[in-house]
Amino acid sequence: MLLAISGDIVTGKLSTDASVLCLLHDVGFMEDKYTPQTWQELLGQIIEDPQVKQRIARETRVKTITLTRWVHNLAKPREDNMRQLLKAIPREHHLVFSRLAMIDFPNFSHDAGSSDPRQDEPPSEFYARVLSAYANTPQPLHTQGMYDLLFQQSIEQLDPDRQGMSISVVCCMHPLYGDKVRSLREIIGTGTPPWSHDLQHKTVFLGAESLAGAAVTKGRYVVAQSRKEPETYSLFFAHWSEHEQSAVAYPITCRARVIGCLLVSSTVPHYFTDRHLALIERYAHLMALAFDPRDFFAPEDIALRWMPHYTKQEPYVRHFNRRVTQKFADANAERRLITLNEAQERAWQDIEEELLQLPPYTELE
Amino acid sequence: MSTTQDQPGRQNDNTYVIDSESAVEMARLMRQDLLLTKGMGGLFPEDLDLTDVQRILDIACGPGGWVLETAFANADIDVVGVDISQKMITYANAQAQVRGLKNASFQVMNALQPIQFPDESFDLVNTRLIVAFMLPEIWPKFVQECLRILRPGGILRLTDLEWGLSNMPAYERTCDLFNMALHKAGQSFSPNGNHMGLLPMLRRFLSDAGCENIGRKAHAIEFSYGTEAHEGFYHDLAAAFKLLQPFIRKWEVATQEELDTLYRQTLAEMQSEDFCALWILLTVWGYKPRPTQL
Repeated sequence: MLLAISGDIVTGKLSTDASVLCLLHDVGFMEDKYTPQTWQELLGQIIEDPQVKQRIARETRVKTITLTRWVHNLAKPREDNMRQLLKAIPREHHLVFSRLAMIDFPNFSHDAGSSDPRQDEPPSEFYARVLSAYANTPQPLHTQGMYDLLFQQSIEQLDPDRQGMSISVVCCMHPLYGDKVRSLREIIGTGTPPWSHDLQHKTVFLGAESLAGAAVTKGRYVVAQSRKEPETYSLFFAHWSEHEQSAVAYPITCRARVIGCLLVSSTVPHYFTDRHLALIERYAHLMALAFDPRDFFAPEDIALRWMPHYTKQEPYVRHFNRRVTQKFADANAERRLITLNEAQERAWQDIEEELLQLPPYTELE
Repeated sequence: MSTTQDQPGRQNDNTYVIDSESAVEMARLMRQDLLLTKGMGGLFPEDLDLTDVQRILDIACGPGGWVLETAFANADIDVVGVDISQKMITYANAQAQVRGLKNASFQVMNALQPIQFPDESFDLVNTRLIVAFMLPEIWPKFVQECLRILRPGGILRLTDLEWGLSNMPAYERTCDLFNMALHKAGQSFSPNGNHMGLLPMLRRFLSDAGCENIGRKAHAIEFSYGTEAHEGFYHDLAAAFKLLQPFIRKWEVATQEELDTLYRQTLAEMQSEDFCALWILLTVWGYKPRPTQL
């Protein structure tokens, strides 16, 4: 009987106590038990079990005393609290809970727990701040300032519920020999737990075997929705890292030239919806402002090689700062002036060259 | 709380030592919020009992990092942030919007002036790192204002820092120059400008204002080379040291040429494998007395 009329319940516009009670009576809800007449009473029944109460408090991010206060009408939740409650209570109570909630919250609906009221675009204030930073930040702080702003904005919007995400900038390595880009380097990133906030120390070289490499080579975004379905994506699974269950790489371009990509990873399989992909596109476009337009590469100048698995790269990257110090010492011995950025760039190029001598990644690894 | 008549043209100014409208400063403060929260071990590492806390005010919230994280972690608490910068507040509101945090809100307000909230309207008032703008003579009145807007039994929680502890000369010199500039600006408690000098004062402010059950917890955040915090602090301080230069120059503690050289040396030192450094933070909290039962 409940199923037979559920369509009416879903589409019906019930907004009075009487109509809800009438409906509950009609469906014969829990005839042998006391029928709750308010959402507070229903919640009170649900949280009689202390373990359930603890779980619901945890999932709704409220104190257990708050649940008690709501039940006894000593405090009133906001509508977003009600949405979280609906997600947290056992599924068999969803329909009745939402109908009872409509008494106090007329706009509440049974699918309120699954709807996401968040924006599909970065807010205009975000654009304004990025453009302000682009226009006014002094040169020494420009790149890092842009990274900081864009990472902070994008992770807030792409992972608002802190389910676990990392966002990295992966850049083309300036070639040491010849004029073709042979690899990419993950230069900086941010994350929410289980990733750490600063990911610069996780520097990894990526090549044609990677999702990032595919995006940079193709000049369009590439998405891997689940590491458990590698057959769908064949080539792009060389560098799944710990925690990573789905990932998107979106090229960072300027005037149809490429400098690298934005690499976004989630702990949740199939996390990336069309809305997320549209947002990532916006942030990849904005990230282009962090770079000097002269540093972008024509697509024909990118010929990525295969790089060793990231676990094999660690010994080469570990003493990076010693390599930089050595570059300064070498320059000093040759009575040349060298900046920190130049010394670092040359040290990275040395490491790239050494990695390219190693056997490339294979699936057997 | 206004002392405008006592010292004209001082209390009404924005006394923050960095351009608070700068987009880079905004991003830096967001990063710093996360670094501090992690370094201190959480939003409320002193295990305050939040059972009766339903409304929190964070004063000088900047772009709202602490407010947003507190609101996210406590969906049953309304968290309000105030800051003197309109741009910071607009940005903080935008962030609350994209995260869908209905219990976080922000308003423009100058903490050096009377706080624009009714008496007894919050259960907890929080400040973090306000040494960079708060004037010594304002502190006692500021604490009184915080108590005015707290409900009886409410908590006032102050966290601030002392910096400059390291084994590297340029880094230490940079911190010293800032401390001296702060001293010359009349914003330091240190009698000779050798340090900021605020930490020893915090408990005194609360006890003088009549707070009860005053508690105290110190935090040492290490960001030596090789520690997890190093990279974050490197970026934070690389921006902060550059953005502080106009303030240091204004108080004629160093020339721009000296600052430029020192800046390069400091960054190189912080990237050295020998670099060791600490920030010391102190949180002090106290309770507004409840009316005596007759």
